[in-house]
Amino acid sequence: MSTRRRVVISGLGACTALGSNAPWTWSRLVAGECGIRPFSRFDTSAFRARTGAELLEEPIPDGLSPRQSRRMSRTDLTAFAACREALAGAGIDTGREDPSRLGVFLGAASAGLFEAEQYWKEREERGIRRARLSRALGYFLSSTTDHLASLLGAEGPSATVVTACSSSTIAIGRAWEAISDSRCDLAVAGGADTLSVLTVAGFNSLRAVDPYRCRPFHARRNGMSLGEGAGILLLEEHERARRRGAPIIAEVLGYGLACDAYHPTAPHPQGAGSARAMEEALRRARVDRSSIDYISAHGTGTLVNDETETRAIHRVFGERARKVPVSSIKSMLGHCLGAAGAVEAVALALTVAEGVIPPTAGWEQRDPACDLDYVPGAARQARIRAALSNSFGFGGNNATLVLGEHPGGHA
Amino acid sequence: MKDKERIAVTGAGAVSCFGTGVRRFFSSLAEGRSGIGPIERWDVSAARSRLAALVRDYDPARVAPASALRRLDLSCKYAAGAAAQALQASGLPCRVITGERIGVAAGTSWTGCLPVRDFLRGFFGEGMEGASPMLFPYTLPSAPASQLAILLELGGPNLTFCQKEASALAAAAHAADLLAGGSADAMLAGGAEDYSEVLHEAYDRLTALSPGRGGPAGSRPYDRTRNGFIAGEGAFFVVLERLAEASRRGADVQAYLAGAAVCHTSCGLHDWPADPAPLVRTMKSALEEAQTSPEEIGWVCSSANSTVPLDGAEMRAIGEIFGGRRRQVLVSSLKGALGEFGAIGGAHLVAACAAIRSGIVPPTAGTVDPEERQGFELVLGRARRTPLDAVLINAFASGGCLVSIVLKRAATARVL
Repeated sequence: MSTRRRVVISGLGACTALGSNAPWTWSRLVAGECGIRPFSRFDTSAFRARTGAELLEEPIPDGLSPRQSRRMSRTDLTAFAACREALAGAGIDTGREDPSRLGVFLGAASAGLFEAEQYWKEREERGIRRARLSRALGYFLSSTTDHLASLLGAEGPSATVVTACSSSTIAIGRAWEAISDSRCDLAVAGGADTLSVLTVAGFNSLRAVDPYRCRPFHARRNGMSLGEGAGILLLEEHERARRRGAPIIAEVLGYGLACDAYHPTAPHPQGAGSARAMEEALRRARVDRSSIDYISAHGTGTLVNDETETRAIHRVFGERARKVPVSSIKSMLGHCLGAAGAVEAVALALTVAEGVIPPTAGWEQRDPACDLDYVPGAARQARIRAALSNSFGFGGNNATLVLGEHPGGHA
Repeated sequence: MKDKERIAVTGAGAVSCFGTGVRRFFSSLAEGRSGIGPIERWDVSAARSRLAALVRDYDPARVAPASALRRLDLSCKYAAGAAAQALQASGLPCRVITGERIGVAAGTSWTGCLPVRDFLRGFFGEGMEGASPMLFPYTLPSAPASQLAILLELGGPNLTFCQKEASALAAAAHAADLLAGGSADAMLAGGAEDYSEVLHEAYDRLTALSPGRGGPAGSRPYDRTRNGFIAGEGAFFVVLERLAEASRRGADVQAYLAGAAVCHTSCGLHDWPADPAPLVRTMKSALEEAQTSPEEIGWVCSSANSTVPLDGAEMRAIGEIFGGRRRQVLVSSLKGALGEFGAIGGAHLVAACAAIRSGIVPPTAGTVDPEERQGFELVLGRARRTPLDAVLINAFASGGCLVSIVLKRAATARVL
């Protein structure tokens, strides 16, 4: 176990409410811009919250034949666009790679659900025979992984992780494990998720959404904002990346998992599972907590999440907790659910590489229960030796990813 | 992958179309019975296909109190039964602080379909008034794994993998990696799933189910007259632990998971893999990781599901790996009895453990006129008695996910 292979990030791709690629999204995150706007894609008049961080632009099916793109859901297309960006940035042509050493690891929460909903509506309104079943076929959550693997010709290990809001963080962790265990040398890792009626109605029914915009850790925060997007990291075995002169952005150091085993939707009040996920991640990454210079928070903006996450950070970092900057980019990109961890990992890789911490937008007033340094208002420059990204899902499925700086990291 | 940490199987549980418990499950398989029958849970009068292998004789009230069960959907109830049996068999102390190191890796292809339908029906019908916050958490396929953590107080990693019909076997492969990496001390691995009218209607319209476009209805893996799969459901879990620690605590080690491979092949989203080469590669890499030669394999628990492409491809792939051996390997498919679904890999694991312990290889139910095969012997009609040192388990999914696992007899395993 001591001879673990090192894993680096050599390409990034993103499609979000702030931009249709990673640099665009990143520059607007650093500027503290908010991508949460009134919904435009479907009728939201029934909802308490009529805002969300919808994709800035619809994904362009570049690199796909009309026949291929017709069979893909909006989620699949978004994932593919981010994947192409990551591969191009890394200088990887999958056609020249050994397909058996290329893996695909994605988190998912809705895949083709939006299209399947349209089928369901047609079926209810017009009857079974007149509803177009072809629209429902991307419903299976493995669809995006299967599409990407087929399009890239990947024959290595694959995984579709479904743990609600921590799905894509765990997928990246599994990809890290697969490369360090020598199951593959290259992996497309991350996730994509787009908004559907069920998701918006569901979170509204739980009364978990802020009617305007989420304001993580702010004293008068009032709930989350839903978002959508894709984040893809190209992970590569370190020696291989170094040999071919790849642009190494950051290093994946490890991840940790723990479950609250407490409630189907609410987190454990003391943040016990979240704290254990962070501790486990530090242990597996072999990083001392004193070298963690930033935490990318789960920070959804709900009363209870932000308070318990703060407690968990206190629990793990003790005296030092107030000195570690903590910010939530969900304040700008909304909660992208199955893609949240992936989009946040893309931003974290750039945070580490460029030494710039994106702010928590919308934060104005301190909550006594949330007493950390949340980087309010404006981005901040700082050297980041190592950083954590927290993702806590429904059912108390907690995951924490650890990224570290790499000497070649200043892109 | 030299000297990979060995992973022991220390418990198993099943809620199946044969009823509750591993004993009923395996003895029914061994008798060559089929759990497939006419669907009575919903109206199938308009459907071409009217068969499924649905769970019967299962009472969740024996697993959890009514208050805990009230809100659970069918897949969660099945999961609770199978997981509780597996944990009990393993002798692991649950509901104590050690629960923090016990996790869940569940595989499912379609869990959540029915809650999605019901939630949307409510919302489209009555707006927010009809959108049920109670139903919403069950629309995610991770519900069974999350509920297991709550019911059984398991605080370790809690994962759900959706990899179509390979989901549960993939979950076991991922769980073994997590154990080898030290993320947990024990993992419940397998899957849970309920079948419903929502899927049945869709599969029926796609003519994916037998009788498809014609001929007799039924699941007949490798048969010349096969014409589509029959869907199944149920929950199947095993308890996995690192072998050294399991032996140290005196656990009853049923078998050990010697090697696993998860690969991918390009095929249509709902097409079955038809090219034998990637199947060969998957089985070979599992054998390599297990440091096991094909000669040692006594039984291949096959993925054949009564579809024309998959059965043909797997038959050729097995022939390529085992062809020309002195002793012919036994092959059978449990899908003639259990049907096809996302948790089937869990059923394969449970059956393979029981087969290794009992030396009984269950036959392929339903098949009477198999295609010509090379290099292996298809077990039909009656079970075979033979000492088994190693079993190769396959789960190959539509969409292209391929998983193989090698289970081996544990030297310390008690004989039944």
